Amino acid sequence: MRLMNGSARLLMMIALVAAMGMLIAACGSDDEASGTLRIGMVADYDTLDPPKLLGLPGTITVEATYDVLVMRNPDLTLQPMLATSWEPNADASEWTFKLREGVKFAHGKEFTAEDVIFTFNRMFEVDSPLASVMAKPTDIVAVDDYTVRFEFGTPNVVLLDSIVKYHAHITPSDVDPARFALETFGTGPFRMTELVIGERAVFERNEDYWWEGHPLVDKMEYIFLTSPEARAEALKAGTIDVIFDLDIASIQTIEDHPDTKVIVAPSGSYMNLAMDVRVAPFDNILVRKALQAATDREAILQGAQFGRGGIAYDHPITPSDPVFNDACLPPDYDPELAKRLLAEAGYPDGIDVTLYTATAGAAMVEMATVFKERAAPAGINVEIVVVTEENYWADTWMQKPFTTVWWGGRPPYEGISVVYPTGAAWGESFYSNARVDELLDIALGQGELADQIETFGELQCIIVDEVPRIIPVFRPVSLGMRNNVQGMEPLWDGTMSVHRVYFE
Amino acid sequence: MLRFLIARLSTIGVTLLVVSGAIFVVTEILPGDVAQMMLKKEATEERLAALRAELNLDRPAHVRYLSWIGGVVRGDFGDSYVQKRPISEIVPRRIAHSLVLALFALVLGVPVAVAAGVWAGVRPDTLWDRVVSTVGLVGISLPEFVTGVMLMLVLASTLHWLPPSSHILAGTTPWTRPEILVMPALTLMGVLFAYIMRMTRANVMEVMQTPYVRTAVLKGLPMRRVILRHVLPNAMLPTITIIATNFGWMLGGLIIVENVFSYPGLGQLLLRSIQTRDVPLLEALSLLIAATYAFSNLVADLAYTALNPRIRYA
Repeated sequence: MRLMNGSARLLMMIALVAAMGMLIAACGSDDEASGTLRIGMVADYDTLDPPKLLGLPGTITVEATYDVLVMRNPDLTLQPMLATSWEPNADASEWTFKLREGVKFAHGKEFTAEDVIFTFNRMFEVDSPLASVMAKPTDIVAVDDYTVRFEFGTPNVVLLDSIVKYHAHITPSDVDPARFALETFGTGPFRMTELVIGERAVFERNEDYWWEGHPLVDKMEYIFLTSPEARAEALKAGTIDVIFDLDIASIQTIEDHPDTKVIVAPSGSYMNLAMDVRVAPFDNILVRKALQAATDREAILQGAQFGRGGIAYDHPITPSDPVFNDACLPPDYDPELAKRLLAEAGYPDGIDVTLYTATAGAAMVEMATVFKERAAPAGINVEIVVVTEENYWADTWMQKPFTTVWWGGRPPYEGISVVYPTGAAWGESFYSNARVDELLDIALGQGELADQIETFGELQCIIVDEVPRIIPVFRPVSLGMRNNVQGMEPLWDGTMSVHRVYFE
Repeated sequence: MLRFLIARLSTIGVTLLVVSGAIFVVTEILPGDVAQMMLKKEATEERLAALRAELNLDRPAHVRYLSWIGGVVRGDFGDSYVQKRPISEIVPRRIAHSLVLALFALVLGVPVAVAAGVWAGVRPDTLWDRVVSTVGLVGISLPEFVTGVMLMLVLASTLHWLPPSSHILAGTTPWTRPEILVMPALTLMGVLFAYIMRMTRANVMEVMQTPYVRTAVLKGLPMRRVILRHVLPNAMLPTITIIATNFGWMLGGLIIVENVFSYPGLGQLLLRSIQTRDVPLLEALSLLIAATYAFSNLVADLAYTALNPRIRYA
């Protein structure tokens, strides 16, 4: 009897202490500073050096603290930022930018032409990802302190496509570039006051910002959360206000919750199948056309992306783009047509192909799986090989003849010129067509939309007809946010317009 | 005693050296290096070469290892490849976070587990014993990412008692905002409870059968005194080993728990360092965990001698 009482008392004491501890713990305060926007995002470490940016969270850290010369708005209009106006010469081989006066970098330096020259020269020096798609200027000249001229020697109508990118945020010329990796020095709307890599970054409103009345929130916190579940639950519980960007699997639960909403932006990012056109059987255009006809784009959209995003038509130009050509579209899903094409190509009994894929971003494995299922009725037997994601881009992509790929959104000229011209750096299909090369050269000199529609229209027809790649779907870019967050739209290049976000 | 300590410490030194070599070899075998992991699709041959040169990765593997281990002996763990700053700046903060979480779990978990084990061991095969044993088995069987997500769903999403993720807000610490520790600690306790409780129960049952306990009971000592003075010290010996080895294990269990709850501790850092092939950081963290294992075992052995006069190290 005594034993029972003794241990019972001991046990109860322990239980009581434990319960009290938890009670105290549970009563912590819910400190929510108003005017503080808390954005949850992936926890990758990253460099903050603008020309070397590789993705989140670096991209939007730089967006908050630096400025570009010209910003491309979500509706694709151009907005003057550090450049107040710009003008090409007659053949667009020289561009002159007027710069904003009286702007200061975070460390006090006055912004002038030398910073623009420093930024763009350094971009090519450090081999920025943007340097592979932007034509290298033959010279960048400071006409005076607030006028700068880019000289190319040949026409370049697409310069602004590069100027608006996050790699082109203007860095000061008087700071040791080694410091850009971990610190920020920009003229931007916010100042970074704290950075704990892998945990958080804290920003406070730049009180001297040149853009009157902006930004619209006093403070921002980027909170790095490792798991998508934790991000979604934190948004629903209100411990964060925005998820950037939202993974596809979480969209439904955020949409269903009464306090949160999802914004899906039109995106030029896509998933595709790349075929090496030098290697059998993909060297046979009829086989490529058979694979094209056996691609069920709608099924891939549903199966791989839960119906989010959009249908693509085997070239990288989105249907909303003014140069999109609806006269040249690939055939609808048609296994019978695919069979006939295969027979014509010399494979009357069907064909075996091996498709390499990996979980290296986007929903590539899911796309491969749906493609396999829907191609089977056409007599196309797809064997899927899933390799490790770590070295997929180095050892499989552009090495094996048939691979899955995903690409970020790019404007039309860039989207085509990085892949399709002869000898392109990322020519994943090793495709070559003299007319394509010629049309791309022509496009560089065409400033008028009517001319561009004609040139890009013909490019689309050639690419769809010769099928070096199959592009079935555009990917959705989505943000999850609390209902009271307004004015935040994902931009086409994967940044998010922190200048305009506010609380309702 | 001194000779024993010297022998043990040198064994620990050799163990850590072997561990560091093994980790290095494994990371060499793993596909992909830090340059590829960082550049991903932007990895052209030139960019890979430039980044590798910048990080001194272009030297042969054994040269890199030897220069790194040379630094460690001098107390310099080198720089993280990815974060580009000294590891000695990155790690202490994470150690503090993980230590707080581990201690929180231990302080909550061990007394409860020992008490439940004693209770069940003194009265085996009662209903209470069966309930405790079943709970323990469930705790041991469910992996942390299942219990963690279940707790998140119940305590955070449904009942709204606790924050769903354990990220540390600006201007706060785990000490000032301990509610973020509760769910990760409960998850860690799940497995811990089962191990310790079952070990204690088995030992108590064994000791209860011994002649000296029967003598103590028969000479009329109060049962409480019998348990506290005669049963518990003897039954605790193997249990201490379990607690000690569990402390090392818990640092491993933290990898899962910290990632489920987005708690910025050692485990999260370790997983990221593996994913990004940040070899110096991975090596430093692995050594730290191996050292914790080794030293907590040493502490357990020393505690043995304190509790059991029959064991003495000359």
